[in-house]
Amino acid sequence: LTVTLEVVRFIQALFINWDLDMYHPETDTFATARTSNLNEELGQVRYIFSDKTGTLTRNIMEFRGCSVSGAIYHPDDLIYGQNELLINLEKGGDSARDIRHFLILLSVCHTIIPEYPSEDDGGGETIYHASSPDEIALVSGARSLGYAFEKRTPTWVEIKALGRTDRYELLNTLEFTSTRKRMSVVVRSPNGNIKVYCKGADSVIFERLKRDRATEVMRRRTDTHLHQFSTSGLRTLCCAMREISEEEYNEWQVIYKKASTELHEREKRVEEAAELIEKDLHLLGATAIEDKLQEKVPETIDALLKAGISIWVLTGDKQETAINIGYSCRLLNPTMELLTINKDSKDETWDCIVEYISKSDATATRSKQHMAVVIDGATLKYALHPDVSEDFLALCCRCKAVIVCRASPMQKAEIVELVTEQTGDITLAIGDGANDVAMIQKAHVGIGISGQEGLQAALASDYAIAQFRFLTKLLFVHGAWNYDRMTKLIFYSFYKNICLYIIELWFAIYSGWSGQIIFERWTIGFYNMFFTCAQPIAIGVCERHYSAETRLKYPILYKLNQDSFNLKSFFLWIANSLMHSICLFWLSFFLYGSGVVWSHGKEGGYLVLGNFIYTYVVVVVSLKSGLETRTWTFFSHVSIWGSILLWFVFLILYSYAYVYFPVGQEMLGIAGLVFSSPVFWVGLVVVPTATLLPDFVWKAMEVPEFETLNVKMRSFDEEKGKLRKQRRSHKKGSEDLHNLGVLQAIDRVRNFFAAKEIGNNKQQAGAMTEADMRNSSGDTFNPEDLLNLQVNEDQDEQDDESSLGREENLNQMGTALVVRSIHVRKEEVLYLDGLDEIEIG
Amino acid sequence: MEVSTSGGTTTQTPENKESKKPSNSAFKQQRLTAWQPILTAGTVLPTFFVIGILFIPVGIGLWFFSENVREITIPYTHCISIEDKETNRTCADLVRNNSGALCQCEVHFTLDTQFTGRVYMYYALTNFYQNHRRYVKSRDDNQLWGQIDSDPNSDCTPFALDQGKKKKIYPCGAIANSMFSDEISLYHQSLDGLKPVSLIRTGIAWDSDKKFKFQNPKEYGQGAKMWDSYTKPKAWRKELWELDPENQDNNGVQNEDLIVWMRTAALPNFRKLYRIVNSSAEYFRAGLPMGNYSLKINYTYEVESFHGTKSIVLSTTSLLGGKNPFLGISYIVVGTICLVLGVLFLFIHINYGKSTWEMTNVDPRTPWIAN
Repeated sequence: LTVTLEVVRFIQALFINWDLDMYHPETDTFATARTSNLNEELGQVRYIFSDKTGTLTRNIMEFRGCSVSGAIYHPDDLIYGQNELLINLEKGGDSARDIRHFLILLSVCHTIIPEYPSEDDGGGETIYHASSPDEIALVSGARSLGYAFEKRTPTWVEIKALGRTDRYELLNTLEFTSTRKRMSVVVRSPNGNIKVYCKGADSVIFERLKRDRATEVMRRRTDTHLHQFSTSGLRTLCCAMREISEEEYNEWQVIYKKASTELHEREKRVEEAAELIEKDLHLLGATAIEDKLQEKVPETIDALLKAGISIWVLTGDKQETAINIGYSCRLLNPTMELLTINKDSKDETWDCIVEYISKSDATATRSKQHMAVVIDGATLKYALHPDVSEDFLALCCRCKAVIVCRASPMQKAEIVELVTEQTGDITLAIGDGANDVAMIQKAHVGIGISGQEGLQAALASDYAIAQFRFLTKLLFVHGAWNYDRMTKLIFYSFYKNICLYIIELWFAIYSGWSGQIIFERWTIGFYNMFFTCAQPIAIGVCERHYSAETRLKYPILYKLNQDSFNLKSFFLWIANSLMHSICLFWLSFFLYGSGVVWSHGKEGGYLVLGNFIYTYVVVVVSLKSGLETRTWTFFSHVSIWGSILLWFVFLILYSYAYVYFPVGQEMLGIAGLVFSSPVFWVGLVVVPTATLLPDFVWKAMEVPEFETLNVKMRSFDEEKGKLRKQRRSHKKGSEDLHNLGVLQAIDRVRNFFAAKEIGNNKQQAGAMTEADMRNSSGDTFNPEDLLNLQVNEDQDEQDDESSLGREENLNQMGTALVVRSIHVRKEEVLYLDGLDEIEIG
Repeated sequence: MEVSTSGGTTTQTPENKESKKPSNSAFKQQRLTAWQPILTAGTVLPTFFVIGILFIPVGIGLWFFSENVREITIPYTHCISIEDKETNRTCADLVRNNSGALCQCEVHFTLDTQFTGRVYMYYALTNFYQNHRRYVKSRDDNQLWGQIDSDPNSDCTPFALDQGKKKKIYPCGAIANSMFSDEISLYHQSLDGLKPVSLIRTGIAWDSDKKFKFQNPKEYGQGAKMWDSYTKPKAWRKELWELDPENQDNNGVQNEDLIVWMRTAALPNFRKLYRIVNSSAEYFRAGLPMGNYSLKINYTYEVESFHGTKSIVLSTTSLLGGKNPFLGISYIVVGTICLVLGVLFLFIHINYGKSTWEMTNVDPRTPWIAN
């Protein structure tokens, strides 16, 4: 078993490496499985801890638009080959002035250091270097609009404004800090005026605006624009300016100088000094920068959420950024309730958490998906305190998403550890940088993004992939497949061994409990080595539970399989193998009868019976693997028929081994004896058939045509016409349904999808929809009633649904019902096509 | 399993770059064409019906084969000794009290029908654990292959050395020691009086055994040198060279009775081929005719001590060997179950499932819409 497992895991790891879908051509990297022991855990992930920068985002900022004096401009919107902003700039007027100042602000108010390409490189554009990629984006944005930042010295900056070089004297730079959330420069413009340019978070800028009606109007407009920007996932900054007189400046400068030379609490003093000048600002507008997400991140996150995975974003970024990214990658949506926890002490944090918990209890389970926890690093320190952590975890587990900002690498690791230990579920951490290494190592499965931020994360990880989006393929396809394969492989290995060895026990009844084996020693030894080693490997390598496409399309399938390796299925398999061994032994026993199984009247001896049974065991066990295999590939055929053939060949060879070597004297001539017996061949047909018949019936019960699925679908249709009729058949259906185990339920989904894959059900679904449409206009039909009858357990969602449009609802129900009827037992409801919301009970 | 090695070299040559890309083979991409055996009504129902329809006639055929086999079992464990007819002592008693004693007895039986074809005579023992682990092991294959230079295999103990005579035992081991020793002859009571039925002693063992496993030592007859250090098994009444008084070639360890006995049975109730009725002899060319028969038994083999019984089985065979109705019955039962299941599933299908036609064609007349 161990050897088989290792071989299979190794091949599965190779499959991951070989996967073209996870090959990233731009960076020429393919997915790398650095360990093969976690392949199946990829299929059970319940929590994903993700780094943000470099993982979700590319960390490349792009200037995406701005709002200046109440109008939105996009850098790509061109009118007559010229940007609208510039056209308005030429038009003159108030807004033109604002636009000019806005552009000057962008090109002046920053801390960028330019690098000039040497002549050898053929010149080209100036390259900007800055601590924050946002600034680069803004300055580059300004440059594309004609206001290019050219040179910086400690005392002045030079910009090329629409071809004219202007030099601004840099009087003071009030730097960005996280508490101020803004930065300002005080400059003397070429015409001698002193101006304060200030950019920062909307909240801080709005506080410091001029108090007059015009500004208020502007503020309102800009605010709506800001909202627009941030809902589309853009990072926003507000820009404002103020013109100050020479006197005021001189006055302020004294204060500022004094503050900046202060020894005691200098930072605070400087801040206070800055407050004095950053007031009565004139709002210029706002900028919108996109922190470009990695390819397909929103889709991936969406899919992961649908698969019932909780996603925790752990980032070192500030809260606003993190939330913004949360929105832009669809981790959060505007209907979600954000539970923000920003407290300064342990007790406050605890109180806050407890309050949120009781609140979420009050709003019932349904709102689970509408909550997200946002917590920052400082508060996290308290939340991770042993007293609080339990409640904190309880709260987080109620939420679909958790965003942790300003978290240190250690804190990231702590959170991962907390969840890993407390929930007992499989956790996955994904990150790209060195700061994620601790977290990657703590989680069950660590995934490194190999690429931008160096290789530390990739080297510390279990799997390295090039892009976040490959996670879906890795989890939904490889993970789920591997889990399914491993589950089957392990169960099957138990099964085949029990099946053979328990027969010895049955034989012991007839051998005076003496421990005599009915098979020859070496044939037993070779059982696992040759005759039944290919079948589990074929399952482990080639089994595909749903196609990759289906799995990627319906992420919920990921969730469904996660509990297939449980005690119940284990005992079912054990019972199955016991039953098989009983059938195999006693059927052969009676078949053998008096031992005279040849027309020439001789009798055979114990090994003839033993090899009868052994052959039947090999055949049954091989066919059983076929019965369990959902996708018969070339390898399945080789393993099944090849193993049977191998046994026959082996038996023939071994029967004559004693003639040449001193081994297997008992087996001498056995092949001749066995194969010359017509009873053996007669039994070769009937014994496996009889043994596997119950298994086949069991499988057949799962066939859609024979089980409740269709009863339900029919009753669903009939409902529209005759309620009474429907009730009767439904009653039948629900009784049947009640008898169905979870295992069957899972398998039935498989049948459904399998059928769907081959296109069988296409028309069926179509027919349903059509029928729905027809009848939805009828008065007698009431979706609530139907749902009540269909699935009592689904009360919750049903309320939700009825609030949606009925017609639309009906269409969805066609598909949903199919799956729903399958999952009532698990209280799981699936909505496939067309339904976005998926809730798992 | 290596992470990208060095970016520098790969970007320079396009071939190199190409080589890192995983190849697009069906196996590597896990896209091997696969047959998905999806069970549907269309496959399950025919399967059941086909199995049912095929198995039942086959089963009936097999059953007839078995029914055509004539078989009679004549128990003789407690047959009355001829010498002690007055006291009604059974041979079992005599043999138990005096092991090694010879008790003669006679058993009468009648064949109601003619046994046509070759008739085989078996002895059947019950409760005899020839499949006991230590019993099965207790033999020395080298010895049986005529190699007498070395000591008997230790597996043979306690039947390896004769303590009393201080000699090694040949053939050693529990199997050989416990060899069935009754001698049975069959008589037909015809109008002309008691007529012995000619029985063949050879052709009862497997050729492969005779050829490759049993070979007499060069000299094993009376007075041969080997008997200086060897002796016969303790329980044996006859010497090794006396096993077949009629045929010298069928003696020693190559004696077929011994070879048959040495092939240990699978189950504690077993039968072993003893003789074949000589169909070339007069009167018995077509098998055993109807009528009265008697068995004359030289009763020496003791089975009472382990609560066993002995019987003689006379049987013809079919193509499938001896009488065994189970074969046919198993086919009939499996076939019937399949038919019943098929009907049951068909019933479910018609009543609760929709036919493919209904599923694919929806028009206003479709009952569940028209309603």
